[in-house]
Amino acid sequence: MNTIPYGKTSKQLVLVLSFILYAFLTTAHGQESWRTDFDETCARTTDAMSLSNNELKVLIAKCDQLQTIIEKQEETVRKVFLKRLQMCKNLYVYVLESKSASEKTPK
Amino acid sequence: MKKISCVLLFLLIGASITWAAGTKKRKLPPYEFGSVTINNYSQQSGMPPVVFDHWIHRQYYTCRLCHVDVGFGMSAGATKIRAADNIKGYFCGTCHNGRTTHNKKAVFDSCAKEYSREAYNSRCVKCHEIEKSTLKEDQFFKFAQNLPKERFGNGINWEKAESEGLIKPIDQLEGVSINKAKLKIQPDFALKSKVEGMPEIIFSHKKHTVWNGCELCHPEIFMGIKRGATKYTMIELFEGKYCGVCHDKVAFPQSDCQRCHTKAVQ
Amino acid sequence: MKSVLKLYFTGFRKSIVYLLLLITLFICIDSSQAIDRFELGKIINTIPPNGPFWKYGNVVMRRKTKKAGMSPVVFSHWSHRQHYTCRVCHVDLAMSMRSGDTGITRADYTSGKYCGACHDGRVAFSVKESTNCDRCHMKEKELQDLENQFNAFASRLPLTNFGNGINWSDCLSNGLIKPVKSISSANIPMSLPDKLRNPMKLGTATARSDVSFSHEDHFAEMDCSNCHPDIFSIKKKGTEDFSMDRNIFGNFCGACHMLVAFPMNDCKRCHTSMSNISGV
Ligand code: HEC
Ligand code: HEC
Ligand code: HEC
Ligand code: HEC
Ligand code: HEC
Ligand code: HEC
Repeated sequence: MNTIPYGKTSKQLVLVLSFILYAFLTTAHGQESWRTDFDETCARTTDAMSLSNNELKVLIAKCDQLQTIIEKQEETVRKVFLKRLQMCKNLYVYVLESKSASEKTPK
Repeated sequence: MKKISCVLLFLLIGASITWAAGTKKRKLPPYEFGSVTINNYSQQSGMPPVVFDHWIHRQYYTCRLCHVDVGFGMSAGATKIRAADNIKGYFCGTCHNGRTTHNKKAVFDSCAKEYSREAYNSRCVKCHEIEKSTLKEDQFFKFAQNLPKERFGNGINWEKAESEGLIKPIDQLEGVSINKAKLKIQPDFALKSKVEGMPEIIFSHKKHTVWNGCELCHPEIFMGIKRGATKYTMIELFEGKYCGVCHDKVAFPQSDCQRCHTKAVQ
Repeated sequence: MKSVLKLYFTGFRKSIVYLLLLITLFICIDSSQAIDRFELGKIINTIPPNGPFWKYGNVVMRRKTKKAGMSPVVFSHWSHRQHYTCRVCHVDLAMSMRSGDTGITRADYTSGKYCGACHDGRVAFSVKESTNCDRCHMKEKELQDLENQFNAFASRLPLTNFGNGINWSDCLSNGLIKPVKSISSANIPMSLPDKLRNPMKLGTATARSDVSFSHEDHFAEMDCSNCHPDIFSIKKKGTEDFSMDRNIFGNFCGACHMLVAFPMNDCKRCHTSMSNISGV
């Protein structure tokens, strides 16, 4: 081992490190990607009333997609995020219904 | 013989329950109002039941933060919190993890698999309450002292305390909450009470969304898409439905008739 | 649990438990039917005799005083209700309507809670002065004083034969007493809805014993929440198991009308077509 030139180890090290880094980043990314999706999808609960019916429908569809992904997560994550997703989706559905009802019967 | 005794005991208990009807219920002291005992798993694994106090927490956080972002249910025991969840950094462990700081102090850690006697005595028992501590009572009165008074519940007018900036509950928790646009407020409205001459109820979306956002109420509690379309009666509220989900347990109780029935009838 | 049960069901305790059970069973069977005069007579006889007028509505508090080696506190309702309506103490000052429930401590009242809200040396004698202790922690002499004060006070007020021997509602409507409804400008009670102004007829099994209930008279002293929803449902006929014998055991109307407001043996006050003297 001692005979191996210094430069080579450092090259190896860089290689290994970058591999580790890459693997880490991808898993992190894999873990995070549905989180970012979730964050984006449920970010409109504060101003849901200002969305159009179409925008709402798109968001509701996204929620349904997310649900299948979250159902595959480990137990605690599943418990917490399914609930959060449920609440945000239900609000969109509620707002959509409310909007279409008031469109039909203008005051 | 033993069986008979048991049956008799049950009968007696049953009788005493029906006999309690028509008498005054015990009025909780202000420091106990909004306290929730959580005991799905604690006792069976040899820990005392967990006592969670709303007054400690709602001065720092909005209802929405805990009941939407952290994911706590709106009735005692509904969340089915496990020690493992807390250890992984969810539910109580979202904040009680020994790392999150509050007022420049780390918030004490929650459950653990392995722990010393010292940790048990200084940490576990803060949540897994062995006995009522008068310390908490004193803390409560010290805290309540400088806040606007109210006759019922915690004896604190939380709504005023917040709007006057005496408490500043935060609505977002880094890494847990979603960064959102500013809340768009819905109009306030009056609800007619069906008894003639009973003052109308003014429901303020504005004052409620500060604490609750939208998703806590819609559609979980209020699914009516047109206001006034769903009929709810006072009796249902007293039973803990609709407004009664919050008002009686955590927000000011329903014995404060006038705070809802505010608008004089002309 | 088992050992507790065992302890409970041995010997003397057992007989008490069975006795209690028998009584409850009887009452359960009883309340399902209308009562005849004989039964009613029996019920009325269970009402404790009136006792001296000046003692009615006095609450003796000795749970904490005994441990502290003090004489028990004697709180007289009659001396306070001439100045304040029930709601001042039982709503605004958060005193429970069940004795022992509030758990008043010395630290509480010296810091201005409960009794200390008025007994501050300005409105009424102070709870902090050591010379005043006996005025609440009453001994023989103070009790005698209380009786004398009562007699002087009651002499100018309309008589009844029950409770305090004072017709409080007449006093109120004739302006002989003027209790205040609130001691803080922040807690002005709401006004009574028009619909509730007329007395309500509460039907009973026999027409002669129908009851007339006045929201207005009660509202003069109390808030909605003193009764609703703990004691009575807000729906007419919505209160379950609302019967005369339950009243007498301190439920429903009996929550007040056995202890402070006029007692149940004053039948005529509620059953307006009855008479307190039979045959007249
Ligand atoms: C720090 C987090 C937190 C905050 C802030 C918070 N809650 Fe809670 N709340 C909880 C927990 C935990 C429970 C118990 C849930 C369980 O047992 O599953 C609970 C339970 C409840 C319950 C049910 C109580 C019972 O006895 O059944 C109600 C109602 C409630 N909360 C309303 C509110 C309201 C209204 C607010 C805002 C003023 C609020 N909460 C703020 C954490 C919080
Ligand atoms: C959103 C963050 C958050 C969540 C979630 C949360 N807490 Fe807390 N909790 C706090 C903060 C902040 C304090 C104040 C800590 C301090 O003063 O040092 C606190 C204080 C407490 C205290 C008082 C400790 C003492 O004696 O001083 C108890 C008990 C407690 N929390 C129990 C719980 C329980 C049980 C749960 C879960 C059901 C929970 N908390 C969830 C933030 C949180
Ligand atoms: C921040 C509050 C908090 C603290 C501190 C805390 N716990 Fe818990 N713990 C909880 C809550 C909430 C539950 C769920 C209670 C229930 O449903 O019975 C729980 C449940 C448990 C359970 C039940 C296990 C299960 O099956 O899920 C055990 C065991 C436990 N805790 C051990 C501990 C120990 C040991 C400590 C001290 C090192 C500790 N906890 C400190 C809040 C706390
Ligand atoms: C404290 C609970 C609560 C919160 C929080 C709340 N609402 Fe409401 N909302 C109500 C009640 C109560 C009604 C009347 C429903 C009924 O009469 O059936 C209502 C009615 C509505 C309606 C029906 C339309 C109408 O006015 O006729 C809409 C839309 C609505 N809310 C949207 C929102 C939005 C958006 C938010 C968040 C900014 C929100 N609400 C927050 C309680 C709440
Ligand atoms: C949390 C707010 C709130 C409080 C506190 C409250 N109410 Fe109500 N009350 C309502 C609402 C909401 C309605 C239903 C309005 C409607 O018809 O949509 C109502 C309706 C009523 C009605 C009409 C009949 C019925 O059954 O709907 C009566 C009578 C009434 N309340 C009495 C009371 C009394 C007595 C108290 C105090 C002990 C009280 N309320 C406290 C919100 C409240
Ligand atoms: C999700 C929980 C929740 C529900 C459901 C809810 N409230 Fe509230 N409400 C609160 C909280 C939190 C406050 C702040 C004051 C406090 O905690 O005592 C509040 C305050 C109020 C106030 C005082 C503020 C003001 O507007 O002057 C009124 C009145 C009120 N609520 C009426 C109602 C009525 C009527 C309903 C039903 C239609 C209702 N609330 C349903 C949580 C709720």
